[in-house]
Amino acid sequence: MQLKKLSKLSLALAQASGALLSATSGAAHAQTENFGWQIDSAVLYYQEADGRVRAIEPVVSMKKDFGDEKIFNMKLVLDSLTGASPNGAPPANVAQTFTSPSGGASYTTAPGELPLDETFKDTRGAISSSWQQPIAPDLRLNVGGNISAEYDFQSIAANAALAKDTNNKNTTLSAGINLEFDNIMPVGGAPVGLTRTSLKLPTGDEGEGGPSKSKFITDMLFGVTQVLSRQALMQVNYGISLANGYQTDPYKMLAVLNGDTLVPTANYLYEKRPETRTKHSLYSQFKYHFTEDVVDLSYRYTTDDWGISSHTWDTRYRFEISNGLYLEPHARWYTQSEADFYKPYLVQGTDVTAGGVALVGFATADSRMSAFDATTFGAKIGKAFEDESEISLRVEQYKQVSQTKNNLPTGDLAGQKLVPDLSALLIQFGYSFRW
Amino acid sequence: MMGNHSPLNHSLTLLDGRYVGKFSAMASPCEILLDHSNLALAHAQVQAAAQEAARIEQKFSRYRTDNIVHALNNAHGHAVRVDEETAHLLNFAATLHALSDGLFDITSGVLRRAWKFDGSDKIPHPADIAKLLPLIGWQHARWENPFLTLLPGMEIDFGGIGKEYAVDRVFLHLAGMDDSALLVNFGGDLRARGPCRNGTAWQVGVEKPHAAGQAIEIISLLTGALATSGDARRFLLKEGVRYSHILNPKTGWPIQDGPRSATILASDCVLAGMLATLTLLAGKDAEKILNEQEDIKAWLVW
Repeated sequence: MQLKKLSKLSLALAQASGALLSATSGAAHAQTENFGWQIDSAVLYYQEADGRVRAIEPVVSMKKDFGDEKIFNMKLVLDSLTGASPNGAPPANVAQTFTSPSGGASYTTAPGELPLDETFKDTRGAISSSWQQPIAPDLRLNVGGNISAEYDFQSIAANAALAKDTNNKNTTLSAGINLEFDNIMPVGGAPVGLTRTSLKLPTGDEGEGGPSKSKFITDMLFGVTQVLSRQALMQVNYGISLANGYQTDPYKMLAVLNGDTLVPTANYLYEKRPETRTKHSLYSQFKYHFTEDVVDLSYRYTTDDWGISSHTWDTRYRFEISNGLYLEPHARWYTQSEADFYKPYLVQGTDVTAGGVALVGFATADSRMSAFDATTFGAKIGKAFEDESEISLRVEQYKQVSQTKNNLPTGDLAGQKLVPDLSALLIQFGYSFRW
Repeated sequence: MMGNHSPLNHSLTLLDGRYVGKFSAMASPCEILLDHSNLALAHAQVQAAAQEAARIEQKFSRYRTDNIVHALNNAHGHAVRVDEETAHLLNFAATLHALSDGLFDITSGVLRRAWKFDGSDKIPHPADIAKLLPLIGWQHARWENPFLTLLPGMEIDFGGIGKEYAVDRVFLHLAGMDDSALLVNFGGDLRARGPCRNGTAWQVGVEKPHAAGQAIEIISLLTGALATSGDARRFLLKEGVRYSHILNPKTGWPIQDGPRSATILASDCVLAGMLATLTLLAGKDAEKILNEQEDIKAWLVW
């Protein structure tokens, strides 16, 4: 009998009976247990080089465990963006003068500089919450919602997910769906795509232009999480995303090249993207716990019917130094191909007539639609205290290198990097505590 | 001296300067001794005690058809969602099962269908026991808090924990109502807090070893709990072999050569009761087990 080996049987039992009695004392009257709130707060500071976008983002997330695997989550985010955003035109050997989206102000970009819309400034607020609870043995339901708003954009989303544990809880199967509705109200109205920027007229809701645009996105995710051993965990997810509606960036344009000369900026064209986009993604993650340290490797592949495919490798290693102090280096590599309709500029005669009539169905010069590689290197250092609070500091450097080639030997764009590289610094200070 | 009766059928008397509340629950005479002279408080305490005992009996009795135990035992293989209190008891039972290497098992109650310990010589046929064994074993139950799934035909029974649990629950409840000394005694399983106003400890009778049902040893109990497992009067006797009512859930047959009863003194009644039960399940090793424990006083009847 096992009892024989347990010389401390009475101690083990005392612990169990103590837990039973303290857990249930008063249970006849009040059935709720108070696990308190877990609060995670952080402030993120993001600064792109060369005076481009700067963001300050405070985040507070609150989590309360009501026991019985019932968990409530709420997250508040406030984004404050200032700085300048590329307007789509490439750097040129000549100065370019643009009229800002609001119509009034104009700005001139010096030769060799990336044209940036200096009036870029925005504040975004978002709130999301979710509720998780078991609905049958080994089956958890999670429902949630999300609302986000900024001055020209509102988004509302609802989601639901089921997670089923099988195989002695060593395997978890999950399926989820997220429905999102976005409303875009571009400053000065949505321009008609692939028309001259000088022709921008606020029109009614009929036709392409108009003050208000919307899109609807359905995301579905199917995943398997497998416990491989006491130390190792693996996860594989497949996701599909279907977007329908206005996906054009109303503030972005394309320069037009006549021979090797830029046409007047007034004859640049507004960009236009397809109304539908279907994206598939495959994600796999592997986590391994050493005695104390943790290594986390992941890979993601995405592909969509716009022609963009991407690969992401991400790796983190958490060193437990001592007394709750840890250091977590992080490295990430990313590469993507360009969209089928990506063009660093339009060519008069091929893409657009001399009269400004587009000969292509869709076009964008948004660098996010171009081919590029990106790396992130950084580290997080944190300290966990005995009262379950934790402070952390994360510093990361992001570098994006364009794969768009410039083959123009002469003219206004010769020698220019059509999509300038981007680097950014990210600093995040975090504080978590129990309340 | 005064009496009091209520719908819960409890009584309250003043005896030697102490209030004595009496009621019946879990097939046992229940008694609470309150070392104060506040009638209104005593009245509230005995009422609360009777109510709590009745609540626990109603909720965990296997003889009722309107409670969680009935729902679990008649789920025909389906999962049943249990409330938080039941979940804590199931967690506790699971811990005991693990600590005892499977000898303490709340699913072993089905053996009662074969064994009737009435002092006769009616030993069940081995085939009848064998038939029941597939229904026994906590390891066959799926306990995923808050869901419990039993195999069809399996049953759980909190009988082995229920009374001690009720004593502790009532004790904690009453102790929170007032600071004076008190003793809660449900048919011999008891928990006390002292000292009494006159500075003395509680005097409690314990059956003397080797002399079942006859001699009583009086012990002084200041603060702590006492519980007895086993019943020296419940057994079967055939061809000179004594069959104890302590059954091994793995074999379906009585634990042989062990003590007939064990009384343990510990800090709370659940702990005392479970140690007493595990001591009996240890059979002939009972004494050895007890000697290895610290801070435990035990009385064994062989």
